[in-house]
Order: sequence, then C-alpha cells, then structure tokens
Amino acid sequence: MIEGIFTLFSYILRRIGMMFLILFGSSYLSYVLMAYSSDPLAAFGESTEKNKAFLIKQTIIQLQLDVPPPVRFFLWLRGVVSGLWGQLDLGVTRFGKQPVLEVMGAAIPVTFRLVIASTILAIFIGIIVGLLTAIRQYSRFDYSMTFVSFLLFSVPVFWFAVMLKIYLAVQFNDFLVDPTIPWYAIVITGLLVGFAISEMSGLTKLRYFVLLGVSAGIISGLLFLASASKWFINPTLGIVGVAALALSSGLVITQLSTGLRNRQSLIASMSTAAFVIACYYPFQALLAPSSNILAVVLMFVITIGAAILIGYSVQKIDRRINIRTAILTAIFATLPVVFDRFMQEFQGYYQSEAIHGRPIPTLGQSNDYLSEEQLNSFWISGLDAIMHLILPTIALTLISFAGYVRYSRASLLEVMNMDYIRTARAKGLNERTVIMRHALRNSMLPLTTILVNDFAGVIGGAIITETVFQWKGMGKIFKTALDTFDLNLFMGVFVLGAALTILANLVADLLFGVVDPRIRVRK
Amino acid sequence: MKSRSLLRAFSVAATASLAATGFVVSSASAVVPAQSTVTILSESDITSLNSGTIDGNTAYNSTAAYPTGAGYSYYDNNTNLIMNTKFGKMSIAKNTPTLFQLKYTVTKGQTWSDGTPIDAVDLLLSHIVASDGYSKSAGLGDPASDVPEFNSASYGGAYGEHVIGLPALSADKYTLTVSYDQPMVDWQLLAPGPSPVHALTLLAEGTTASEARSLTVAQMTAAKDRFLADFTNKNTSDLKKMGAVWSTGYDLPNINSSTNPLLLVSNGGFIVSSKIDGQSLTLVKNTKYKSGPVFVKTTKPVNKIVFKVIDDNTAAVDALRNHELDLMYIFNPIASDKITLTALDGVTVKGNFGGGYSMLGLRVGSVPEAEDPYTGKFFGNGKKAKDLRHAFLLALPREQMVESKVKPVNSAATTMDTHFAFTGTSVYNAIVNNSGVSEYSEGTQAQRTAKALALVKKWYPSASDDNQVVTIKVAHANTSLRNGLAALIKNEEEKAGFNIVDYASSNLFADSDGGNDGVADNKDPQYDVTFHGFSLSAVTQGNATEIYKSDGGNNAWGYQSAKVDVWAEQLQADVMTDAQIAAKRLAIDKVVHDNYWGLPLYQNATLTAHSTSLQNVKPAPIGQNVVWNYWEWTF
Repeated sequence: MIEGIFTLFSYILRRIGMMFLILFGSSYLSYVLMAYSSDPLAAFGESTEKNKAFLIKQTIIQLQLDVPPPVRFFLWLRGVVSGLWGQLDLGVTRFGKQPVLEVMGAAIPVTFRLVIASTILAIFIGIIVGLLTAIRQYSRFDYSMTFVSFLLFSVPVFWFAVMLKIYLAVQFNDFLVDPTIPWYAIVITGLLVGFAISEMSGLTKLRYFVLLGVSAGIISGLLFLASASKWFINPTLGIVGVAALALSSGLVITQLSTGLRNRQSLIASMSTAAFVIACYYPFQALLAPSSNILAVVLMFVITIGAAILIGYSVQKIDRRINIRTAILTAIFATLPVVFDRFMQEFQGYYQSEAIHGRPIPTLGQSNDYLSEEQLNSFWISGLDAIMHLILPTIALTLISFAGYVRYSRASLLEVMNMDYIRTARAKGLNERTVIMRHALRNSMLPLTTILVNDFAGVIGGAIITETVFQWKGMGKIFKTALDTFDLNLFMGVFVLGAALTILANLVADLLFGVVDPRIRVRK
Repeated sequence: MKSRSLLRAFSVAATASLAATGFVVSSASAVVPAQSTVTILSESDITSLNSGTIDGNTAYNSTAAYPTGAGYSYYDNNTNLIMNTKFGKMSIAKNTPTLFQLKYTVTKGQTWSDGTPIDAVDLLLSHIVASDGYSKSAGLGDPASDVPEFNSASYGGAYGEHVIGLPALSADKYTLTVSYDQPMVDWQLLAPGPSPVHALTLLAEGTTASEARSLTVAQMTAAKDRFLADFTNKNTSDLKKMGAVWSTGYDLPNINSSTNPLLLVSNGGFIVSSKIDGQSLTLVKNTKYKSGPVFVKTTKPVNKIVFKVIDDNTAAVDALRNHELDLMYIFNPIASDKITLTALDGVTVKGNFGGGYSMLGLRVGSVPEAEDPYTGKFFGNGKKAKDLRHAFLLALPREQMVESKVKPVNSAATTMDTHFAFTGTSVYNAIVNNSGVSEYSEGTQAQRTAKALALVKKWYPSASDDNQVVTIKVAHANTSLRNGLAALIKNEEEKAGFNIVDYASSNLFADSDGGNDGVADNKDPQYDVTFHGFSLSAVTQGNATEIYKSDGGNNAWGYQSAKVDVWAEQLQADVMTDAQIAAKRLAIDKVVHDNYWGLPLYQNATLTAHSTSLQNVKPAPIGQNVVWNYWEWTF
C-alpha cells in the first residue's frame, strides 16, 4: 500500500519535472519565434510625424529591442523565475502598461463565464442526445441527429455567430416592438417540436400520432398565449409555471434514477417539489431587490436541506437513493424560482434607457449604459449578464455538443455490446437499470479524458468566439497580443495555456486511474 | 422498447410544464425613452486617458480624449485649422531671425470641470513634455537616450529643438510668451495644450479619491501655485512624482464612482464618467464647459458619448444593425464594407477623403539601411534606367485603380497628382499643371501603355504585350485593397512588356529581425517597386518632403538630389509666403517627374456610417475625424 503511494508520488513528481522542461523549451521557442516574426516598429512605416526618429528610438529603448531575442528571453524569464519566491512578474502590456498578470487575472473569469454555461450545456445535451441516439440506433431520430451533429460540427463559429446575431438579436429585438407571432409560425413551430418529441419517444402507429398531435397542440397553444399576452416583453413563470416545472422535473428525475414504480422514491421527490412550490411566496421575500447571490445560495441550502429530511424520513430502507432523488429534485425545482426572479426584472430592464428596447445584444460582456445603481443590483446586473450570454452560449453549445453526441453515442454502443450488459439483462434487470446503472456509467469513462483536455483548451482561449462576441477573455487578449506585437502579453497567455494543457494531461491520467480501477501506475 | 415508459414520463412531464407556463398571462406596454447617447466605434482598446504618452494607443486614445479637452485650435472637415477663440488667442509677438516669440492668451472666466479657474499656468505642462532641454536640465532624463520621467511622445520635435528658456508668464497669469531661436514654420501647430496641473500636482502628492472629493477651489488653486513653483525651480523630486502620475497614472482599466476624480478633470464639452476594461469609455456632459464652441441649441441633445471597443469589423456592422452602435468610422475600408453598410436600414453611409494618401515609388538607388546595394533595372540615372522607369509609370493604370478600388468607397475620389497638397485646393492645381505629371493622364491608358511599350522596345526589341522581358518585382502590404491594386498593375504593365513579380508582404515595414537590424520589405533592394500609404496628422509646410530628401525618414527608394535636399530643408524650416511654398513644392515635383521617381496614386478613402437619426456628422480627413464637431451633434 505504502509502496503504491510512493510509486504514484514519484510518478507525479517525474511528470511535473518533465512539465517544467517542456514549458521552458516551448516558451523559449515561442518567445524567439514571436520576437523574430513581428516588428513593433512597423507601425511607423506610414507615419509622417516630425519626430518619428525620436519615437522609433524610444520604442527601441522601452521594448529593449536592442537586445537580441534569444537573450531578451532571459530578461523575461527572470520575472517568471521570481515567481518561485512569490514575486511573479510577467512584465507589462505594450499599450497601457498594465501588468500582464493583472490583465490575465481579469480575463480568466471572463473566459470562464463565457464557456462554463455552454460547456455544461453541451456536455449535458450531448450526453442525453448521444444516449438517445444510441438506444434508438438506426432510427429516423438517430439519422437526423447524426446529420444535425455533423452539420453543426462543421459550421464555423464566426459564420454561425453572424447568423445568430441577425436572427436572434437584431430581428428578435425588432420583433419585441410588437411581440405577436403570426398564426402560421405558431402552427409550424408546434408541428416541428411535436415531430421531434414523437421521434424521440420511439412510439409507433396510433400512439405516435396521438403524441404528435398533443404535443404540437400544446406548443402551439403556449405560443398563442405568449403572443396574445405579449409574454416576450414581460416574461414570467409565476407560481403556476414554477409548480409545473418543479413537478415535472421531479417526475423525470425519479423515472431516471429509480423508476416511477418505486413509490417511496416518487413520494420523496414529489414532496420535495411540493415543498419548493409551497415556499414560492416566502422565497420572493428572500429574493428581494436588495438581495444578492447569498440569498440564492441560502434558498438552495433550504430546499436541499428539506430534501434530505424528506428523503430520510420517507422510508427506512434505501434511504440513500431516496435522499439522492430528493436532492436532485430540489435543485431542478429551485432553478425555476431563480429564473422566475430574473424574469421579474425583465420589464424594467427592457424599458430602461440603457437597454432602449433592445434587450438582446450582439456583443460584449455587459451593457455599457447601466447606471451604477443598476449595476449594484444583483438581479439587474445578473439579468444583463444572462442577456449577454445568450448568443455566445447558444453558438458555443450547438457547435461543441456535436462532439459529445458522437463520443457518448459511440462509447455507449460499445458498452451495450459488452458481456456484462448481456448478463445484466439475463438476470432480469429492467432496461432503465441496465442503461442508467450498468451501461451509462461505464460509457462515461473515455469521456473523462476528453472533458479534462477540453477544459484546458478552453482557458487557452476561445479566440474566435471571444473576438466575434467581443469578450475580453483569454482568447481576445491573445489576439490583441498578436495584433499589437505585445510580447509580454503573448507569453503570459502562452505559458498559462501550455502549463494548463500539460497539467490537464496529468490530471486526466490520474483521474482515469481513479474512475477505472483497472489502471495502475507501474514501477 | 422497455425504455418507452421512461420517455413517456419525460414527454408527459415536459408537456405538462409547458402547458402550465401558459396560464400566466399579463400585459405590458413597450415604453422606450428618447435617445440621447451616441455610441462611437473605437477599433482598438482605449488604454489611457492621457494620449500624450509614447506607449499609448495614440490614435484611439486621442479621439476619446478630444471631447474632454479644448485647446487653441482644431481641424474641421475641410482640413482647415480653426482657431478656438473661446479658449484663447495666439499671435506672433516678435519675429526676428534669431528671436521668434509667440504669445498665448487664455480667455478669462473658464474653469476646469472641478471649478478651478483655467489660466496660462495650465499651459506650462506642455513645455515639460515637449522640451528635451527642460527634461534634461530638470533631471528628468535625456529623451534622446533614456526613458524620460514624463514618457511623452512629443520630444524630439521642432519645439524642443528651437525653444529657448522657460515660457514667460504675464503678471496676471493669463498670458504666456514662448521664445524660439528662429522663425518657426507652422507656428500655429506649436500651441501648448492646457492640462489641469493642479490635479497632477495633487495626484503626485498622493491625494486620495476621498480627499479629492472634498477639496475646495482655494486648495486646488494653491496646488496650481505649487506646480508653478516646482516648474520654475525645476524641483526634480516633485517633478519626478508628477512624471510617474502623468506617464502611467492615467492608464486606467476601469473607471467608476470610486475612481479619483482628479484623474478625470476636463475642460471640454464632456467629462469621463466610466470605463469598462476592454469594452467601453463613457463620457457625460461637462456642466462647466466654456472652453470651446457652444453646443447647438436643440430639444434632442446628445448628453452622453460612449466609445465602444470593437476590434472586428463584422462584429461592428452587426452592432450598428442592432443599434448598439450609432457611429463608426473606418480608416481603411474596402468596397464591400460600403455595400454591407449601405444595405442596413436607418443607417447613413458616407464615403470620404481620408487623411492619408497612397503612392508608388520606383527604387532608383540604394537605401542606407539595406546591406546590399540596389542593382535592379531601375537603378541610377542612365538613359536605359530612366526610359524603363518612364515606361513603367506610363503603363501604371492609376485611373483604373481609383475607379475600381477607391471610388466604390468614396465616389468623389480621383487620382492624386502631387503629394504636396490635397486634391481640389488652389495650391494643388498650381503644382500639377506645371510639374510634368500631366503626362500620366493625357490620352487613354491604352495610348499611354503603347507609349510605354515603345520605350521598353528601345532597349528590349523583343518586348511585346505577350512577351514580357523586363522582370520587375513589386512589393506591397498583404491587404485586400493592396492585392487588388497589384493585380491591376500587373495586368496593365504586362501589356508594356514588363514581367511583374508580385509580392504581398505581411511585414512591409517590418524587418525580419525583431526591429533592430535587417531591413524591412519596403526598403529591401530585391524589390524594384513598392507602394503603400502615408498617414497625415496635420497639414504642414514640410509635408511630404521626407519622402524625397536624400536622408528623409520616409525615403525608401534611394532618391538622391542635392537640389531637392536644399528645397526640402527650406520647406521644413523656413517661414515662407504661400507663393514661395508653392514654388519650392513645384520645383521638387519637377525633379521627381524629370527623373521618373514615382507617382502619387490617390488620397485614401474612409467610410463613415451612422444612425440616420444622428444629425450633423461631418467626417474630417485629419484631426479627430468624426468627433471633431461633437458640439453640433443632435438627434
């Protein structure tokens, strides 16, 4: 045992040692290449300033251009090595002379904000769709999702972004002036969604068409109501909407985790949902306009706490499963309360001078015109952040979920053909248990590696996405560094990206050992 | 299908939830307030509120700074330098060959946005940041060899070279007299700009934001007196502290109500109110504004200006489409930009002349920086080289270049025939009618190309429009516009027997060695021809002379002429009458065309697009382009 830990420890140390070597080599190479390939003095080429000679001389002095790049690298490295005793200095940016560390410190959260929602959504949707297509292999649904995912996989983000901007921002904002939907659009949308739902259901014959008719009717009805009530400029869920979402998520979660036949589990889940609904009005007081993120956290703490109690008290056996189901229900039932709270701010936000009746922006991280009072309100600035996230999140999600669909589908299909699945079926387990407990978990193993590496790549910067949507994250500052020949900034982003990639590889290898007991470090 | 129940539950739940949301019905009315904010595109981040530092992103920083500061003059949309008498007046006080004095008066009754009166003491900072001698003698570093304490981009110019002594303040401190050791050309451009020196002094003394908010006018005026004492006594340690604030203190990533108000003091029509890093800079009306033209009276005023940073043209166009942007000015547009913008509803698009111009030069000799001498076909003043150069210029399809690449943006564009004046001015006509340039617009291009072929045939009898025998290498920037122009050149020159090797350089002005030795592509002796643009920030008497002077900073083609050198020196340094200026410029242009050195192509085009609701947008070629007349804007 001890020997095993020692082996692992020395393995990690060896990998970290390698990491520093690789980092040194790659930074030296990229520094020198970047320095030789760019020329900060080029900007003076078209200049007719009378003191051009002075400006050139000063630029040479200030950027130390008189030191050859292979040597200049070590001047830069000195600041990095100082990081070992806590005085990390990556230099200052060329324009504005901001410390590179500060610039990156401001950019990393921005990148996180941009990609976190879309990454989670992409993984979530990707795995669900992958799962469904694997279960319904070679069905119409499978073929159409394969087509859609390959289509999205190949769409360049800058083009996709422009389309989103035109249709979801410009035209949607225009639509809000008179938010009534024409009848034919209502019918067509209803039918399309109905078809999608029916295809997913795998039903046949009469049942298929019943489901199609019912779901198309409901969707069209909802759209009609939304159109007639101008819901789009005054969106709200209200207690009815929250209740419906809470109860239905409870149903879905129960079905997926234990099956609806497990009455105790269903009771736990439904009681939790009922608790959240009952708390709707008290929560409104908790989420007052002056409240902040702490109120939201407190609300989740309350509902999850209640869920644990409910799950614990429903039944003496299988408590763990009941508690788990209740907690998941609590989370998914409380989220609509948060959405509803944000929606309550929408009308005021929409009518404020800052928004000017055009709530969906095409670019930026936040609205430039919000007053400090608005910015200090958690709900208004939060709503603003959500509005700015809509387009980039849709773009990134649709483009990256395709990959997850393919991975999870292939992986699940492979697992489904394993002997142990046949054994599971043979011993009489129901299909839900076979898929959710035996197949899905094992099929997620290879995804771990992909996830960790994707995550590292994300910090390295979604250069194109950040440029198209003008978010000042890591990708954008990397582009700025290239555009302005800002060597310090370039190196800062590069070193962080390289270090994270190497670390992510290490973490992925170690994680794999954790999730898959078959993998062990060998001496 | 045993998982059917799973999906049934899912679909039932989903439809139930959707149905429920529909019950929530309420009505809302769309009330949208009237617009009073202009959002202007900034193609690059605004990195500093002080646009005078050398590390600043000068062009963008100064545009954003313009509405927050008013000085002695500004350029209008006809490239006229307009005197701003609301701020003050300037005049020549003494004009002798060895002593030239300029007098600057500040109009009384103006205040900074914090209430501190504006007087001539506020002009003195200009001396610190532009006089190399002052920086040296006050112990602030020699700008020629060190990084000075005031990291200013204004050293090394005519002011620093010729100013003598300290500027003299009048007793009432409203007049400043600056002395020079010789008469100064373009003296109107030497006017000092006002700076809130009391704020700088207080900041250098460490005044915090909360202290600054409770300062009285008397305390601020006292700070100004301390500045004057430090300035006069050259108090190195105090000045160094000010230098530190001046050089980096204004480089603020974010600005909000907690920002030290001393950093935001303004005497322009607007004052900075907030900034979001990498995203926007917001200005609001300065209620104490008296230093410049009066805002036009209107019921729909512009109360706020936002500079929005968008460094991607496509993104900017979509922002304009979505009314997130009201005004954009594109420095280097291409034809498709205009087509895209014109298609937008509610957007007015204006193609205009830009501040720069494009030219094509033939390499005639070696460039000092280049290690290898130029030995190509165009070298020297031999008959053959001159004939080939003449032929090349004759076959240069300038009209076609303008027609297909510039006119689609600016319909008023024409070919440019001299570098020394902008198209349409009287000086321009006087020069181009006599310099010999008219040869390149006589007859049709086909006739000129035929002439060119005849000249080539003199030396290469086998040359013809399908036998290109004279290989000429052309280098230019790798942009869509330049590549398009190069294709036109290649097409036409081949008809004159030239074999054009076209090189689109990504580093036209960059040497391959990180900016210290080596030679940039535009000076590389392997290329016989290069073409690119020059940008102008002011209209000066010595304008364009650096292209033709033997050691001129913009002479990339090895031009050498003793006569031109003398005239260029005179244009740069001697005060002359308009007639004298025109004569010297004409003389230089004659040498240029006698020796077939090159040709101007056109005045660059720029593109302005703005919401049609925004009135009185008048793009100007130089100066502050679209923001120069912000006081005239209305909705």
